[in-house]
Amino acid sequence: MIKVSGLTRYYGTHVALENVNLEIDKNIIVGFLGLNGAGKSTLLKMIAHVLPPTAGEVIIDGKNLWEGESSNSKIGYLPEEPALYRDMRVNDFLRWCAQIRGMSKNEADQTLPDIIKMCDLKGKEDSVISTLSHGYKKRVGIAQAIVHKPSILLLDEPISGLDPIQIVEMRKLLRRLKSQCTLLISSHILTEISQVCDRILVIKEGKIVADGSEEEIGRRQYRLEIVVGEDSNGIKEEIDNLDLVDSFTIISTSQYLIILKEDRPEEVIKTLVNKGVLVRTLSLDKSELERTFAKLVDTPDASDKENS
Amino acid sequence: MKNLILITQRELQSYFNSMSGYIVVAIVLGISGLLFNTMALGENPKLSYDILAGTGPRHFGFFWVMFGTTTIASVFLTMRLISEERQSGTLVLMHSSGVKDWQIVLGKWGSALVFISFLLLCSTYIPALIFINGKVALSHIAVGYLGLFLAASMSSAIGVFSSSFTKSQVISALTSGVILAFFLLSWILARSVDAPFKEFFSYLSMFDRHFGRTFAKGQIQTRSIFYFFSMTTFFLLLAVRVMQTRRWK
Repeated sequence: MIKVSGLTRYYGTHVALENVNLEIDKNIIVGFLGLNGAGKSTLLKMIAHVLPPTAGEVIIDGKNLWEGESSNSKIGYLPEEPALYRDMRVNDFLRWCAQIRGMSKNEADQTLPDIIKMCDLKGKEDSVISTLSHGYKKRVGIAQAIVHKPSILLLDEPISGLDPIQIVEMRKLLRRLKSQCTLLISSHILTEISQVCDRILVIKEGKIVADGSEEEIGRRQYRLEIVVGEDSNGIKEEIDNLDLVDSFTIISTSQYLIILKEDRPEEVIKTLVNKGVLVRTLSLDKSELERTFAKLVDTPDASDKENS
Repeated sequence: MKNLILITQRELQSYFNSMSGYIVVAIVLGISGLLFNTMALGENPKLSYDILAGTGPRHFGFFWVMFGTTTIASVFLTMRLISEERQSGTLVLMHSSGVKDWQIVLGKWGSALVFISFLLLCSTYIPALIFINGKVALSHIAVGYLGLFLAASMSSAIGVFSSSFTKSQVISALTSGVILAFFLLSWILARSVDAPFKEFFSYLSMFDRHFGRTFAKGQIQTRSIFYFFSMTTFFLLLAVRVMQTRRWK
């Protein structure tokens, strides 16, 4: 449904996004995860027909978005800071958005009550947008993105600035929207992405460094902490020689941190036992999305944690 | 076409919903009325024709006064058109909807022109006052207003262009002011340079060559119509180009 190939974007001489290739199926929620400035918003803007790519193409249902007549009525886009005409009333604004994306006035009027209900804007229809709270403005932002019933919905940091109750409501809304369209969400909040997304793409310095479900990404590396009974100098080489070991860190003379590529800790234990090392405690952490993310984007936090 | 109408409608709604539109209309009408009374009518008896057309630098006619107030009003009415969208980030609403840059520029300019036409319509009571004690040809008034409309069209295009490259409405207004000042005062340049620049600067003179000597006197010259039309087109195309270039940056 969405095919992105060779997508590259320069801002002057700075590369914001470099040769991104991906394919996204219908009716799933895809999360773009990355640090600030990683290129998430740039990617969404190019798919939303807001920012032209320096190179590459975005193909939606077989049509190149940036060539000829674009298929923009299929796309709904919520920027990080909702784009709203603050002098307009909610109803008028949503009607205008629907019409500019190809709906007739009658069609827009028929759709509005459902959208108002779905985005929980009941009672605010006649309010001037500038008088609404941040949470309501965000809802109006979502409403404008879905008012024309798009098949692709792009949401840039949809929960930023929302209070905990609004976050829960937003999560419910996103799950409801999944049945109607494909959602692409960018965020740097891991829990948000992991709770609602079917597929996660980790972006670092304009490149996709990981792609998969939370399970696939989170368990790509396994963190094995071992406490041994005595000073076991010499086991480092033995462990390092194992193919499934990604890294070996000595925390103290009796404590080691081993990062495994596969879920086979028994191989390590077997090697340690064969060497006559007494293993006192062993813990394998599999819910590793946060740590994996930190490692993938190579933050100082990640290396600090592993070296401490 | 539908997008163009929707953008124009929205902007017009914005003019009429906000106080700023009414304030500009009130100020223009107030100043025009005042200047009509003090400068066009003056203290000494005059021919009705001269009250409209003016006789020279010492006596400004009604259309001279209206030319000044209309062009200044255009600067204030257009300074926010694209700058405000850049500042608030609302351009993405149109870009993500597949609206073309030329539709945005044309829609915004169209709304400003419609609003200024409303303003001009409101001012028609002023020349009508001449009929109390005098007599002028209605065609003279109509031609003068056609000239004002064309001048407003050009100054609005300059305003839209100026607001296309900045987020700041102040910079937008200042840029429009400088460009308009150049076109208004280029007759002075024309006096101080030799041919062929003399003719060039003289032709560019917005008021002296293309309004004061023609429309203000009730005369239509196709050359002046072509001038306003081509200048309007030039600045609108420039605005579209700026929009496209900024998107690629």
